[in-house]
Amino acid sequence: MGDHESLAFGGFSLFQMVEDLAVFILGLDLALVREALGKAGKIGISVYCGGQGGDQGTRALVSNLYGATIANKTNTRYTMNSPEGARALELLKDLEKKGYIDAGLSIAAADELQLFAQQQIASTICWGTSNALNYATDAFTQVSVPFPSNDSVPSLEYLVNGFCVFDNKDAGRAEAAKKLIQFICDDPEWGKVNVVKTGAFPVRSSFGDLYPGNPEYALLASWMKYYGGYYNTMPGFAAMRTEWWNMLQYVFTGDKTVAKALADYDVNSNAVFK
Amino acid sequence: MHSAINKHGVSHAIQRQIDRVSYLFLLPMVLFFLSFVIIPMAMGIFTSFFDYTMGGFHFNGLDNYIELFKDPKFLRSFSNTFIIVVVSVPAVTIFSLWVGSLIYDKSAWVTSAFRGIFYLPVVTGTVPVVVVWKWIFDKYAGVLNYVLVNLGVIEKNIAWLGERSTAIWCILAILFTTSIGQPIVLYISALANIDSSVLEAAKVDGASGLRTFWQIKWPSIMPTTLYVVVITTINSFQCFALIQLLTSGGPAYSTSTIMYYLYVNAFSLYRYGYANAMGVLLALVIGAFSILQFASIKSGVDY
Repeated sequence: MGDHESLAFGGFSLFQMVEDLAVFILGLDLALVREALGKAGKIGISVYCGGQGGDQGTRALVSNLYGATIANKTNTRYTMNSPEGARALELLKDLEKKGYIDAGLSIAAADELQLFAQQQIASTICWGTSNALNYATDAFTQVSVPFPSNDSVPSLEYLVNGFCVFDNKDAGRAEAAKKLIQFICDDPEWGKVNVVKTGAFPVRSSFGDLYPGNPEYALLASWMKYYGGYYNTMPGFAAMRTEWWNMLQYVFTGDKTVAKALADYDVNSNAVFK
Repeated sequence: MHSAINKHGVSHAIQRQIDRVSYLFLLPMVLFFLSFVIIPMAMGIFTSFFDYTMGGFHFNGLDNYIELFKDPKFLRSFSNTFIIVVVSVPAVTIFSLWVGSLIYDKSAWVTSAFRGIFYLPVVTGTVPVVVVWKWIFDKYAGVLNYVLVNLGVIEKNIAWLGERSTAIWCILAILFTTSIGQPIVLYISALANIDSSVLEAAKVDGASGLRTFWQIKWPSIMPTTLYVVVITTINSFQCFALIQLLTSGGPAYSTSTIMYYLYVNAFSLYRYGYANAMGVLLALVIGAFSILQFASIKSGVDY
């Protein structure tokens, strides 16, 4: 172990001295945490919103705190404008005002991850297996924990990656492309290798445990049961993303009240469903 | 038989041949210009009248233009752009002229050294320059905060690029450093090219330094000033890379410019028609400003 132990998740990390993450976020013993982090000269968490990159992390943080949802079950409306969403944003704004957390108005996820790797910041809310590889270092040991939630049942963000074939009006080429994709995904030997190379998890259980003996991956795999709804393919997704981090900026700068910022976010994000 | 001869003593038949060859030499550039400037420009104007997205292409008349004037984010971006132009153009022009005046008559070594220093940000390229500035302004480990906190100027670190009150000024400061290189070089050349006999005559006549500047140097460098003002205005109106790399238009759209908002609409929201309407409007505004500048700045040398 290095000079300190970090917790990371889709990640969250705090120092060993902070035993209960929910305590920190829900503000039950903030003075203790602030003192501890202050002594260490560290920032606990940054709700980065300086750009779009890694915005899924901040959405996961806000939605999990009090059980707000990002979209409805039928994926026909973005639903953060709710009492739960407002309560979460009010909490974050209040924590930021008191200096317990940082509003990352000038940084996006890539900057936040760098700050985490540089140990300027004690936790990250946008951690992934690829980050773990990129920022692998002996300086700290990462520990992953789910996002804090008041009901202790996190709803986790995930990304499904796949292939597509462009219709270039050539059936032969399309067929060849499909065959290649089938090989990459289905081949009993190379299919597994390809998944491992991405550092991700297979979408099919038939591939089994691709990371035997790796407790970190085993832990992450066990969290699949917490996966929330998949809204990345919803109409208006691009517009919603732009609205999201700008909405956070409005909240943290105080340009708009939480209620107004959420209401505007709601109108603009859902414009596509009119 | 009478063979037609033109005023250069060349027969019309040969002249036609020469013209044809000349046009053939021009053809590649004309094709390039048509393909990559004129046709895209025409397409931009044409599609600005359409609801043009990834999924559709429908004529909507002036709707995009009407929406522009109702869109608070666009209006905010427009006013930010206007602030950048109004602050940046005089600052760049006056500072460049001042620096040029101070160093143009120094020894070749000194002049070249200063020219090199001021031109460095221009040849370095926007991205590396901006990355360095980003580190300087960084809230957590930036050198600016480090210096100011240690000097006792500020109590705690400031997110220079994350505060509404400071972000636009940071952008202006960086734009300033990247904009002054070329004007300084131009002013040094323009000032060095002023006929020394006229300056000497003024000196002999007892003209003060200030009077020599205003009545001889200033009119002589007017064409350069016009060029500097017009080019700086156009560059300021098109401010994009700094915003994209530093603030993404934030916080709360306080640094969003027309070019950045255009980019967001075209490449994040895929609203090509709406983005093109912004582009057309921006071109019109830049054109109007340029005409105004050409009309108001007398560029003919007149003593």
